[in-house]
This record gives sequence, C-alpha cells and structure tokens, in this order.
Amino acid sequence: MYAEAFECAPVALLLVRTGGVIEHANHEAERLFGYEPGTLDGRHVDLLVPARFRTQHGALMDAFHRHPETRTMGAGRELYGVRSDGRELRIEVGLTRLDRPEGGHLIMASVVDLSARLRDDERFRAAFEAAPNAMILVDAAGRIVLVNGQTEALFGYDRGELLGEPIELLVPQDMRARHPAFVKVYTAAPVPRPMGSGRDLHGQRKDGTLVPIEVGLRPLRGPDGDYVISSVVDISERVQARERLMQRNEELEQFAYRTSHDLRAPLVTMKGLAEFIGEDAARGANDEVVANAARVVHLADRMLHLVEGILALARSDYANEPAAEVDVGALVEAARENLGGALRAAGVSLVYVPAHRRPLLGQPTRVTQILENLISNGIKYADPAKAERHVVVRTFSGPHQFHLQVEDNGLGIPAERHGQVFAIFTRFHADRGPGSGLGLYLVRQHVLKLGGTIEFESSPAGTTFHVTVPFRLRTSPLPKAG
Amino acid sequence: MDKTVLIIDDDEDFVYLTRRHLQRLGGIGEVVHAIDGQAALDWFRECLADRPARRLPDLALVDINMPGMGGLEFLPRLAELFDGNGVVVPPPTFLMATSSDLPCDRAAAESSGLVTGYLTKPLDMAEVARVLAESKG
Repeated sequence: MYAEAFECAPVALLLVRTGGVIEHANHEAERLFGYEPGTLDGRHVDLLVPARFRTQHGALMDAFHRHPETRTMGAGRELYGVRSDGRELRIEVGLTRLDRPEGGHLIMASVVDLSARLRDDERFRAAFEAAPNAMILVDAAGRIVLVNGQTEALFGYDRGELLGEPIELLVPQDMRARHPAFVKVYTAAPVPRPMGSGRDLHGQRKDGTLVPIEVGLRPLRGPDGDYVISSVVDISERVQARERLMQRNEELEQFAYRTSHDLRAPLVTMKGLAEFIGEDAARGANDEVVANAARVVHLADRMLHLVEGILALARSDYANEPAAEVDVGALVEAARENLGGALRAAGVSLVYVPAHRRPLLGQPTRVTQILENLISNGIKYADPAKAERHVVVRTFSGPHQFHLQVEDNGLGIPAERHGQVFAIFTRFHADRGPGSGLGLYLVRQHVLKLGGTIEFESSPAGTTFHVTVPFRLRTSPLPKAG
Repeated sequence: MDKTVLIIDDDEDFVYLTRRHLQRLGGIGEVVHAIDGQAALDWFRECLADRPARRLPDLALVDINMPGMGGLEFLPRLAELFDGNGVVVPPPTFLMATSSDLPCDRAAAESSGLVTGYLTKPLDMAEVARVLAESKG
C-alpha cells in the first residue's frame, strides 16, 4: 500500500542510492522528466542534471550522504533539471534520508516543477512593463518594489533610483508629510478606486517640476504580503485642453452678451426713429422725416459693420489659406482705396515706408485683415486737435522675423486701459465713429495664427502697433485664445 | 412746475432721440445740451452766478466717453464747484448714460457721490421717467 502511494503521489519522487544510482522513480518523476515507465530505474541521477552542473552535483551529493538531514536542496540557488528531450526545468528539490532495514540508506528526492509558477510571474512582469500607463507596485510599508518604463519616463528617474524608496519620493513636496496617512487609510480598506477623487493630483518629477496626474489604485495580495498597484496617467494635455476650453467658453459667453447688446442698441434706436418718422410724417414735418431717415440708414450701416466683423471673426477661426509672399505695399495701396472716404473725412495722410529686405510670408487674407484693421483704427482715432494727422506703415526685416509697424499720431489709448487692448469688444473712444470692438481682437487672432507677436506703445502723442511674423511659418496648433 | 433736463453728451443723435423721448413724457420745460464736461461746468457756473433767476436742472444725463472732458472727470469738478458755492438747494439728480458697462467706470461714477443711477445706452426711457418723477421738481 505504501508502495502504491509512492507510485501515485502527485509529486515527482526519486529514490537514490549512495553513489547516485536511481533505485526507483515514481510515475510523476518519469512524466516530469519525460521517460517511459521503468526506464529511469538503475540510471545515474546525473542524467536529470544539466551537464554544466554535473561535476558540482557529484560533490554536493557526496556531502549530503555524509551528513544527511532532511532539507531543501541548493537553498538560495536556482536549481535546474533536464528532461529527456533536453529541455531544462526550474525545479525545487526536497531531500530526505531513508534508512534501509538491511543497513545503509537511500535518499528520497521530491522534485517540484517551478516553471508554471515562474511563467506566471514573468507574464505579470511583462504585462506590468508593457502597460500603457506608468505602473508602480508598492509594498505594505509604502516602498516601491516594481516600476515600469513609463514610470521612468514620466518621473525622470531610472528604476534603480526608485526601487526600495518610499512612494513619497514621487509626491509633491507639500503633500509628502500627509501622504503616508492616506496610504494607511487605503491599506485599511483596499478596494480598486481612483486616488484623491475630487482633488487635483500632481506628481513630482526628479527635476522638481510638478505634473498633473490621475492615479488608479488596486490592491494585490501576494504570497508574501499585500501590495498596492498604482497606475499613473499624465493628464497635462487634458488639463491644458480644459483650460483652453474654459477660456474659449468665457469668451463665447462675453461674445454672445456683447453681440446681443451691440445689435440690440441700434435696433432700439431705429425703432424710436421709425416712430418719430411716423409722427412727423403725419404732421407734415418733412425735414424731420428726412433727417431721421438718414439716421436710420446710418445706424443700419453700423449694424452691418458689426455683422461683417462677426463674420470675419468666424472665418478667422477656419481660414486655411496656404501661405504666400505678401506684397505689403500693394496692401497699403488697397487700404488707401478702401478707406479713402474715411482718410479724407478725418484729414489723415497714409504713408508707406518700406525698409524690408526679405518679403513677408503669410496667409494673404490674414495679413490684409491685420493691416486694414490697424490702419482704419489709426484713422478712426485721429486726434482732431492735431494740425497734421497721419498713419505711417513701416516694414523692416530682422534675422528671423518680418516687422510690420503701424504708427499714428491720434488720441492714444488711455493708460489705464492698456491691459484690455486686445480683449474682445473693447472700445476706448466709444462714441467715435462706427466700430464693433472686434478689430484688435481679430488682429491679434490673425497674428497668433501666423505664429507672430503683436505689441503696442501708446501715449496722447499717438499709438504704434508692432507686429512680427516669423519668416519660417510654423503650422502652430491652436493658439491660446485671449 | 415743468422740469429742466441737462444732457451732457457729444453724440448728437443720442441728444436728439433723448430730447424727443423726454418731450413725449410731458411735463418737461427745457432740455439743455452740453457737448462735454467742460461745457456743462461752464453752464453750471453761469446758473450759480445768476441765482435765483436761473434754476439748476432737475435731472442731468452724463455720458462717460467724450472727446473733451469726460463724465468721470466732470463729476468731481462739479462737486468742487457746488462746495465752493455752498450749494444747499437740493442738487440735481445725476444719471450716468453711457455705452460703457465696464465695472471700473461704474465704480468710479458711484464714488463721485453725486450719481443716483447708472444707465447704459440705449436708455430705458421708463427708468428715466421714473427717476425724473422723483427728482426735486
């Protein structure tokens, strides 16, 4: 019966004589090493030891026979066996001395195949490494035991610098003191959940910079203790996109408010005028009728101007015209023609002073809009108190940029309003001539989309707008609005 | 007694429209127009000199952005003028009437201590009528 138990045990068992010959191997041992039933008996045990370990194995075996006590073979070392087909196995071997009734002894070796368990472990490591997020395995003491390449990339550390360190190394300085308490709370009730829900989380990189992150936590019960797996996602782009979106939303709200106000105002006035026209016509006051009809036309023009501005703004977001060399001189002449009436009415002279050596490269529609808006602003805000009134367009080329300057000697922008110059719907001399308050906002949007910059200087002596456009056009992503 | 209204504004269209709306309300004696703050100050100075023959207006509509002296500069100067002349008669009711709805303009107008209301153009004439009815008369 004992013999039967030996044969059928689910563990590979070998009985080995002094000297190393196999007395008997059970079914599982034959199956594990790939031998037909009975064919291992009488063979030397070295048959199951990879060739490179045989010399060493002989000496170790002799030592065990001299001091035989039940123990694990090769404690602390990795043990290998070799199958009949040459394939090696990672194994664990237990050794027991069995005394023979007739004298002498046998060694019983029990062999466990570790390959399956090791394969799982390797698979875990490979999956951990291949995860699309930064993965960090932390032990119950809060120390980092495993990280993947994404973690190295995100935080700027080599894994050698992270392993064994407290997880607080990756926590922003101002949160470090409080973090271990959070870890304790989590390990007390470890369920899969996002970290710090409702709060903005940041990680701290090796260089000290902070990165907005999202962290998922998952408990992992290992054979040797409890762990927490953190999966960390860099959400910088998402945060930036959200900020951009919020800014655009705010602009849009303001836009809707101002547009409805600016469209409503002339309509209310036109309605009043139409009522007066009716009353005046009834009592035959023809001069009043004619004057008020002219006022209605004037207001309608103003509304048209505003609506055109809004359309131009809508187009500015979608214009995808190819870049080309732009003839600034021709554009100034076109502006002189288009704005001729306004120039004469305001007594403003338009002067072009070109000094550039390289041509301006840009989307012609954008450059036209920039130039026309800046020139027409110069005319609109001309100072009637000055005897000579002018708008001067200057060009020159720097090493990397084209410079376009539009200078006037008009009223100037009140100093306290300098911060709002490029904001949507800002007008500084609100009662001077038609204006939608969109002009400079639009100009800035166009300049940004050309990859350029716009600045201004202003005093009661006049205003100068300074635009630069790089010679090498970048196809930049959506510029930050505002 | 019919009321007198002063409009301080450089926009002739606005002055015309407001004048006609006021006349429709009835009970308006005179509508005076000053093209900017300076003109309004001069007019107030004359009124104060000729008292009691000339009355101060019952209501003044004050624009903010004007080519000459703007409304926000005008108000403190007028307050000085009143102080210097010991004006104790009920002063006129001042309403800002402007196209600016900037919070800073609103705050500056209120800090003058003279202004009872801040209206943006186009004016809500019902509100103007209400304020006018409550003015000193």
